[in-house]
Amino acid sequence: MKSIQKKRLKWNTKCVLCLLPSLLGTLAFFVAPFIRVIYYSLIDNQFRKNFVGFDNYIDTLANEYFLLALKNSLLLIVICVPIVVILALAVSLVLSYGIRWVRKTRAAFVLPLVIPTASIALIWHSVFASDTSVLPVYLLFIWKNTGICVVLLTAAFTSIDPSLFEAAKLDGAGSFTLHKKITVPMVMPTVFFVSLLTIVNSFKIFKEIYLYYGTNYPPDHSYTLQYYMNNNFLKLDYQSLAASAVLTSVLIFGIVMAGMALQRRYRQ
Amino acid sequence: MKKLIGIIFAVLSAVFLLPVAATVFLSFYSEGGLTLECYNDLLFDCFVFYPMFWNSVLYAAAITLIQLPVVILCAFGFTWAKFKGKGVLFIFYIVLMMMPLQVTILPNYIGLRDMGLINTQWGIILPMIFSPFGAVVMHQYMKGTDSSVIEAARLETNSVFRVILVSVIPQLRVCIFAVVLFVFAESWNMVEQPMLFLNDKGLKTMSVFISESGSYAGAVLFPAAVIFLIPVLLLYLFFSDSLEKGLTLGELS
Amino acid sequence: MKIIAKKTTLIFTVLFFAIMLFLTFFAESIHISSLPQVEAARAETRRFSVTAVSADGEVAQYSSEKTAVSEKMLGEGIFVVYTAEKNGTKRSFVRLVFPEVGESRSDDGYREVISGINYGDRIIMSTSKELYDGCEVNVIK
Repeated sequence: MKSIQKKRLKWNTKCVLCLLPSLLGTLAFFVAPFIRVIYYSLIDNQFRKNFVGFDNYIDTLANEYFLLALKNSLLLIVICVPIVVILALAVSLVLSYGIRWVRKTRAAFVLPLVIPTASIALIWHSVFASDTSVLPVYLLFIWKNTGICVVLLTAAFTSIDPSLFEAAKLDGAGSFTLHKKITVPMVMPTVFFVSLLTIVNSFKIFKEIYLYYGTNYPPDHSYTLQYYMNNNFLKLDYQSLAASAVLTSVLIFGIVMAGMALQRRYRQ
Repeated sequence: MKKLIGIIFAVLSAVFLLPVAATVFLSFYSEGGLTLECYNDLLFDCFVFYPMFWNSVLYAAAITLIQLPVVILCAFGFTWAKFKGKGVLFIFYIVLMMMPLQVTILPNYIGLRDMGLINTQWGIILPMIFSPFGAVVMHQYMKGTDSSVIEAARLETNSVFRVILVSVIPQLRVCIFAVVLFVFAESWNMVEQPMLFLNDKGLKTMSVFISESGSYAGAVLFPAAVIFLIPVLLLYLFFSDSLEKGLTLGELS
Repeated sequence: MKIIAKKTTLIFTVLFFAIMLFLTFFAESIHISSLPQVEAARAETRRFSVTAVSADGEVAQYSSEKTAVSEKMLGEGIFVVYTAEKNGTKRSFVRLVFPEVGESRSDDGYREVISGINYGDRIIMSTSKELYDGCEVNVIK
């Protein structure tokens, strides 16, 4: 009896140890340096290292560039995410319930996901060279991100057990009720997840914009948070960079937490 | 009605494919005609391109291959180990996964600088190995696997590696393919890290090459873009069926 | 159907990387062999007599060593070699020069160069292919 228990304990320890390589790496390359980043955000200068508390944060929040970047990043989210989600919903609806051959076109939507940004930025630039509004950036984002949403939503639609529909039809439910009571609740979690994912991706869009404009100082409306941080990085202004990085992390953390909380509440 | 939807769809997919098709088309276009001149300019006149190409391949392959065992182990640990704070740790991973590059790049840079890894190949490879994306997706997928197979394997051996190899990996095949595809695409695509962490031109990648438009004579950019997208495209074609299946179960958080 | 697609993809992948590998090693030599193969040599010098008038009107004659080009080569212009970096690697190019020559001739048919070719410049002596201004060359000698 004791030997089996001993074996069990050893097994669990081994499982925990499995996490070790990944944990060590994450610690070494992400966590420990991030703590240093927080430290940097609390001092005034690389050389004098005086503790200045939240001064850097206050400076950052007051910096007009930061606020501009923040506004642009948020604007991107508010405008593009709904478009992506709705478009993906429409597409995946058709893909799941539509005509046979339409399914073959699924690849067309997933392709933007894997196509390297650098390759696309060129042609995008040539086509939209004369356009000075935010449109090219938004379009690029929508183009790239609809794919994964389509994949996930299609999977959600097709994973609904058809027998549920059968049972409901037997009970005499009409088409509308059918979808409202069965499809919608089953797909909602995925819709949440997809929205959250797109929001998160909107923060990651820097690479595309940077390659599109090819410069560190894009037009005002495209100046996002990442640009702010990148420019600080290039200016070696670690303090502002650190402060804005921490602020952005807090922002994203908040969004993710809110999203997950919402999702859990909806589950109930 | 169905025909209408079909037509709309055809147009929509064409629009989505347009950028890629245009890039390919333009790579053959020069001075008003279809020609291989641009490819000639790139392949036979621009020799810095080759080291950059192989660098891209090397980094992406190394990152993907090394990350695989690390991630599988990690996901396994998350699924089967029992300890306090496991949930919190996982949430931490998820949050880290969601951070944009700009937030993580500063810690990465500082960490690498302290380790003296700036301007080396490992400086690029190592941080990307520990990107949390693979662990999160794989753990979600593992949650849905059959534990009885694992129990059976445990009766045979106490070695974690054996158990994983024999019982877990066969079930995970689809997910592994999906993760491989995404991690490769992510590493292939990376632009900020080579630009910021590498100084030697000989170590840089093709993504940097394409972004430095204008510093090369001849119309080399479109052929470069086309060549750049071929390996990822091939990989995608190879794993396309696994992709959807792998991501399906991998997101139900 | 899917397996056939996979096999084709695999073949394409192998083909693609094989071609890239081949090009990585041989593209440069292929390019060089397509260039005009030229022989270049330093511009020569000859002694020419110079008449100089000093400040107080004294006329003196002395001979000095000046850059000179053969009379024969003056007709179609002289190609001068220069190196420049293109696409990250150092290459040799030529530029077409019609040098300004003086009246003095040397014994073996060389003319004094006033401008256009400097001391130490390398001039094309022979070429395997027709040259034009600004074209890239491979210097053999």
